Amino acid sequence: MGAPLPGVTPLSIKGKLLFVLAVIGIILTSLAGYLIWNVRQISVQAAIARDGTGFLREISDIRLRLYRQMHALTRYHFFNEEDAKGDCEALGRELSAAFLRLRESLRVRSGSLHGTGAAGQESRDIINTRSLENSYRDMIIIIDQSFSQKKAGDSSGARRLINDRGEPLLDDVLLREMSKAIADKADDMLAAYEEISMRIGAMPWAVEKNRRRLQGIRLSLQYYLAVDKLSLQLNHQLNEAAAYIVTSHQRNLREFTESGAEVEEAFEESRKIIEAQIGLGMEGEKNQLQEVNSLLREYQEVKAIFNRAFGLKHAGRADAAFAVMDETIKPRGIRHLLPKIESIMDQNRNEILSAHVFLLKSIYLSGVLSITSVAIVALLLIAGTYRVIRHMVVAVERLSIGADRVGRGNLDHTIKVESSDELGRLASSFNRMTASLRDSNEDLRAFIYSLSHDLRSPLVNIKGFSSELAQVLKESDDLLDRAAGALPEADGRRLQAILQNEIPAALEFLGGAAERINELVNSVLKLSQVGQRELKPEPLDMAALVRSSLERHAEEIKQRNITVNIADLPGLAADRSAMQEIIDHLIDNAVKYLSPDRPGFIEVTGRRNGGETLFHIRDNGRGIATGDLAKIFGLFRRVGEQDTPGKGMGLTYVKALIRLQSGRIWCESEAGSGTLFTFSLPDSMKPGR
Amino acid sequence: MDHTEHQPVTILLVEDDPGHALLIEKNLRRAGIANRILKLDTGQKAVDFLLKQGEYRNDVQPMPVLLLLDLNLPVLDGYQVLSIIKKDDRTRTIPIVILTTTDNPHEVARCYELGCNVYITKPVKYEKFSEAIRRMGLFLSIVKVPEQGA
Repeated sequence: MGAPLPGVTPLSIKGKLLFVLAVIGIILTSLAGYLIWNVRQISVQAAIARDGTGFLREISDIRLRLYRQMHALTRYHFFNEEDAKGDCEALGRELSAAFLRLRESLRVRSGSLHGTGAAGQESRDIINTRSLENSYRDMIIIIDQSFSQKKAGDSSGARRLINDRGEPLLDDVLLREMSKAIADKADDMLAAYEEISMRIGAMPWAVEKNRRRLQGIRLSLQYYLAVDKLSLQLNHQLNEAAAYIVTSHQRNLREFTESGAEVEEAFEESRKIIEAQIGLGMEGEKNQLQEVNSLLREYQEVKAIFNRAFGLKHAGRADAAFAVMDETIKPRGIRHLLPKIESIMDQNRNEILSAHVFLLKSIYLSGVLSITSVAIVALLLIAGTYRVIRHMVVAVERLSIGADRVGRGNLDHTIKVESSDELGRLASSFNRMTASLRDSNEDLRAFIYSLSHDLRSPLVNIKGFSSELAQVLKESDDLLDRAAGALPEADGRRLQAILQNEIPAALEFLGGAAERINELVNSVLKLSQVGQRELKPEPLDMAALVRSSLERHAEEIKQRNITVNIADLPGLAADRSAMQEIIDHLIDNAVKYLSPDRPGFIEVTGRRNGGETLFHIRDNGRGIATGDLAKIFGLFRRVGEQDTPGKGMGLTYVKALIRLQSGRIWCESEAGSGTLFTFSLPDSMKPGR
Repeated sequence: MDHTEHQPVTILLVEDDPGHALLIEKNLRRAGIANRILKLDTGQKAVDFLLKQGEYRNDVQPMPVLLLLDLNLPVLDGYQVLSIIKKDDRTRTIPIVILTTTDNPHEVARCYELGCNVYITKPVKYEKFSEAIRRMGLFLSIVKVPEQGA
């Protein structure tokens, strides 16, 4: 019954729910894992960006020193300021140290970022730095050569060397290379921040705030690039102006003009970026705007001086123009404006760095919050689901046990109602159903009891008075003889026939019928009282019970030569008298309905089957017709030939006794060839009542 | 017992089924009981008679020497009669025989708890019934002896 198909293992409700739980667990764990990975990736990108600012600082540092060195060189060669040579040499040493630092930091970084996908950037940085260093070596050679020439008295040759090779090397090679390195690095940083921004999107906390911070950092970087361009072009412009005044080449003038346009553009760009930053709510940037404006004012003053110097030159006063250039523009430009720009860049880099640190903290915080919340949600979900599953499984198991017990007849069984949810309501309904079953059972029992009881009263009278009547008739025999003698002979015989034969015969039928009703009533009473029996389970020797039953038929077994076979029967704990009655009835039936046509055979076997014990009583008797099998356990049903005495309630009673012990009984038979009765009793005998 | 010497000792039979009452009486007679048998058909009448109340308020009949009591009685059932007369000092000592069709062990036990002396089921088999009644008659003639001697 309800057995699973072979080869198909059905998953229990518990199994299915645990599977769902496992899936939820895997999904949430993956989510947490993804978040952790995400934060790790963000930290990698953040490291790239942070190192980028360091790189930018080193490059800026180198550039500023290069400017100063060139300035010192010019002072020494063109204005014969002897102490400038020392400055130049000191700056040379600082530059060597700066390059060393840069190389070292790249080496350390490429070690730490190995395998993170930033290796490509690193090798490019190394190439950029190396070519920068190589170019600078050329510059060192030029400088040394210029010193040697001047020492040898060839001052003009030294000047030419600086003008024709040194300055172009600085302007066209070194500065451009540095700009390229800066732009590359800034691109890396922008890309890193772009990726960070994308990854923040995957985290549920403080996304908007961090995105704005990121946008701010990106704008700062762009601003940095704009200011860098400003610095480069301004320097170029200064150099071209000086060159023009010395050489009068139109090419220098053209370059000067172009650089000027670039400077203006860089100013414009810087202002736009600052405005965008202010638009983003970065109030601190208002200071920057003031700074840029003051820078612009100073630049315009320098430009006015340019115009004055150019005016002097065009008026043929080249020396005066040279003096203006040397005494006013160079100090203002190189000593003041360019360092000021560098300091703005410095400050900007620091701002980027602190914004970066702030951003990272915030990202890490939201990362930790995200992961923690996912973990907490996962734990709560798993714990909650587990509780629900446990609750359901326990409730369902309880219901299943309850249904089993009630099904076996234990109507006193109630299921614990632990909740008011659907399962709780189901349990309550189940209990109400059981109670209602119990009530109707009780009602039925009471009804049967009182009915049989009330039926007895009139029976006492019927039986009693028919006996009285018989007694009276017997007592009146003498009177009858005499009365019959006084009548005509025919009438006398008739009277005797009536009083001595017909009436006593009728009384006998009456008494017999009353007796039969009484037996039926007794049977019904007995049956109705089965449920009230107190069962005392004890270990039983079933074979002994069977032998005791057979003892009652010893005479018949011997006479009719009946073979009885009792196998090794499994032990059992059950109520002794109930089991004896059950065995008695079944053995009685087997003996009673043996076929007269062949030697009788009765066999009793038993075996353990899972949580129950089965007993079989087989005979080769007359059997039961298939159509009658269903009726044999019914009350007052007797099937087959009615040639043996019986009230027709034995099997009903047996079934009631077995059900009382939570067992089952069934019958297989074939008319003419024999009958097999099988009954089973569960191991843990739960009394049905 | 406040019956007088010249009055015959009475047996009180409380039985609502006249057939049963007649059968019981016949069998008692057949067993040789000659005492007057007073038949009442409800529990209430029995209690009224014994406690001299209601319609028996002014009755002067003596207390019965024995009470034969059916359990299924109208108005007051046998148990109620039993518990009432066992609580009253005047009637507490009257021997009581329960005569009924019930053989449920719980009910038998309940009757003994309430103080009945003998419990006899009315079997349908007439021979057994007569036998039971007759045995009771014998028992009655034995218990009667000291009463008559008093």
